[in-house]
Amino acid sequence: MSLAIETHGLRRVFGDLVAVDGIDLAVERGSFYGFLGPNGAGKSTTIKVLTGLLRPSGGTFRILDIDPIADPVAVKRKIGVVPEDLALFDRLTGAEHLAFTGQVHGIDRANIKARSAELLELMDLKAAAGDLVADYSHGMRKKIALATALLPAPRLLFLDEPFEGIDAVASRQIKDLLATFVRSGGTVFLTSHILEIVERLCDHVGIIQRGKLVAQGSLDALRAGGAAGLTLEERFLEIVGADRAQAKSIDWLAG
Amino acid sequence: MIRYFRAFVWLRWRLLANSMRGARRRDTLEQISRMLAILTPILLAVMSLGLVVATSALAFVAGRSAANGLFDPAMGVLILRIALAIMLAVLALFAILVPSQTSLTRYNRLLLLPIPRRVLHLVEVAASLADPWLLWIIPGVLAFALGMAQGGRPLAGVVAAVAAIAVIMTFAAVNALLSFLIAWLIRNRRRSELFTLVFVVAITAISLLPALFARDIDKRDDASPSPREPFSVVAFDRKLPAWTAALPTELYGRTVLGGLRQDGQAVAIGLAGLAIEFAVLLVLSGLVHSRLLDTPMGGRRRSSRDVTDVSILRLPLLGPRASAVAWAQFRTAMRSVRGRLMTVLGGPMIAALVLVVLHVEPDEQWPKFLTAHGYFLLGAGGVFGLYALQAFTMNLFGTDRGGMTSQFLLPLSDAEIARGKVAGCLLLLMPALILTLIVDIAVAPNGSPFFWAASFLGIIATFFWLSPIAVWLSALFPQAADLSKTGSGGNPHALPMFLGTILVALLGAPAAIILVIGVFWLHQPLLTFVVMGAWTLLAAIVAHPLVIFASRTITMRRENLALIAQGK
Repeated sequence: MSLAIETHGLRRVFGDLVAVDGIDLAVERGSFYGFLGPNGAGKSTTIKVLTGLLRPSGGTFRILDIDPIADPVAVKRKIGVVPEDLALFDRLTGAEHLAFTGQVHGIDRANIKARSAELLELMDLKAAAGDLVADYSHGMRKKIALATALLPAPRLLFLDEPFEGIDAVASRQIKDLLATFVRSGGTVFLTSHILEIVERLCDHVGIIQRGKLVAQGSLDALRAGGAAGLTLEERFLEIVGADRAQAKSIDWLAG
Repeated sequence: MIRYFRAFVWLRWRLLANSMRGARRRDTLEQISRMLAILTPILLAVMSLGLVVATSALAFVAGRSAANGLFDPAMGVLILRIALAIMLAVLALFAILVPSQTSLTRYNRLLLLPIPRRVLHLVEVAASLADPWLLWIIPGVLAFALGMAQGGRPLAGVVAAVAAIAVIMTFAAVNALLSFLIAWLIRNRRRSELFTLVFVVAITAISLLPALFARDIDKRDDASPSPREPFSVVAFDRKLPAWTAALPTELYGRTVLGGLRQDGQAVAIGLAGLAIEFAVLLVLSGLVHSRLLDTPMGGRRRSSRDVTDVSILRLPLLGPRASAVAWAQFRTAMRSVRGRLMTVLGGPMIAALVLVVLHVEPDEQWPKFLTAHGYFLLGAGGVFGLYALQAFTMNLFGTDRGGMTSQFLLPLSDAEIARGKVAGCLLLLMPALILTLIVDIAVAPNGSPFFWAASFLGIIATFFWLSPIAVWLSALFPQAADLSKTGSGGNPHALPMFLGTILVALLGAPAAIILVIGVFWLHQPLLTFVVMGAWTLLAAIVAHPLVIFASRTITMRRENLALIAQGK
């Protein structure tokens, strides 16, 4: 099976800080890939490099068989992104965001209207579609960012913490939507700190720690690498070396 | 109380010091850009320091001279009263304007700290002592008191020092009360932006009023010629309205003068008045502060329209993607305070100026000239519009914030982004120019329509010549700006803004020369229009490839631009 994301020795440094340290990702098409790691491990930096917001300091990578350095626009025609900071115009309305994205992707007006209506309905944003994004709550902003990423029907979705701040109803609907998307051949590359969600949704997982890819493979293979009966959370803690023994007590906190 | 105050002083210091630290993720050019941006206020502060020292020295000499009887003490105190009254007005103006530039978050966030509300209020009032305007007058009034003491009137010096402290504290309380009151009134984004817009338009309109009444005052003076009497403080005081006696500056003057004249009653009344005013203002500011802390943030207005069908017009000579960028630039800018001000201020202001000139000097030659050649007014309004547009043209990639990241994530080439941004700015200039045209035609409807059209085209040509440089400077010196702010928070980087000011004049000069030659030498309206049309066409033809060439700078600086967009 060809790969949706393929990196070889991908590296990104900021001065003397190595944020991404030579990682070799292999994300299969049609997979739901969970990219995990502790805070500051390099997850968001990796997504920024893969989506073209940051230049790599070293290594090579291909997205959907296209070299993003040589032809960044061709890659962006096929991907949808919900970045860490959501990347929204504060002074456009939700509906205008969708229209803007649709036009940039070359979708005709009737299609933009139809898709917008469905997405706004799904995200429970129809009543707020005419409001400026500046007046949205955090959860609403996240939902409109997700709708904007989905509108052009991308083949690969990059989602940086998509479920954070979203209510349970919308979260359930989005999960179903993403599962359908993957079943239809789409690929999702997702970062999340909520390991239960990753365990429920993802079929493949990569774990990054201090910029290095410390584990990668199918969810079952990853679990099988540890002791029997381990949950993803327990296996994750084992891999990143943050087992419960290290959570030493703080005496003064006990009062 | 002291530990809280120390904590707040430390916090302010760290925020200032950290703002000067270069972030690790910046390139060298970005570091230089940030240094330049930080150096400007530091230079201003250093220059202000010289002014403070000079004012204090002058106040010291004045205090000593007043104590020695070298000049009328009442005159020295009058100068101080006037200076303090001006400062009070400036302080009030900034107290009104500054909260509309900041966020209510600042107040609500402080609630999370384990500090009693009363203490928090006192710390905030004390913090207003660090206001630059107050910092400027404190050394002055204290130096005046010191001068009096050094001049042989130690008791009067002590009285003046006490009065100085009292008046400064009262000023701080006025500052705090107004700041809290305005912050409460404009407690959400919409209210805040509306307030700023109305405030700026009102201040501009009010500034024209004195000129409007000047003629009547002159007439009155001419009608009753009386022998000029020597200036007298007593006569001046008699002319003041009765209510001004309650102003803290007047109470201060009465106290200081009472000290010099050894008038215990005047001193007691003055100091008691200041103390009462301070107490009342402190209590009132405490009440408003408490109300402010309890104010919920946000407050949304729901739209009830069916808005799923949003159309984006494709602009001529632009592809759909660049048109979408232009449209987003235009829409977002027109919804900001800066964009609205840019549109509504230029035309009406020029027209109001002309009306004032016609009212004041109807028989002079140059008002007649202006009414005969209204298209020059249009040119002036257009140049004003280009200057106002600098918030956008000289910071093309720093005003969209998250929207810029979105454009970098979408399938848009850098050339499309640059062309779309330039087209968006041109769209933004259009309503301002059209409004100016309408208002100017209403005020001065003379001259050939071809001259009017040539003047209009001249502004467009200047914009085209400016556009590649704007793309280049915006990519080199981006600055995260908030367009809801009329102050420095909404400005571009100082360097492009400075260069832009010069460039508008330089690049607009050929169009102005074409118009002047056409009007005064050739007397050929049609020919002037044709030449100006050719000049505009040439500008468009040359600017287009240059904008695309300049967009290579976006490619090189894309990463930094994305970081600026993320506010990093």
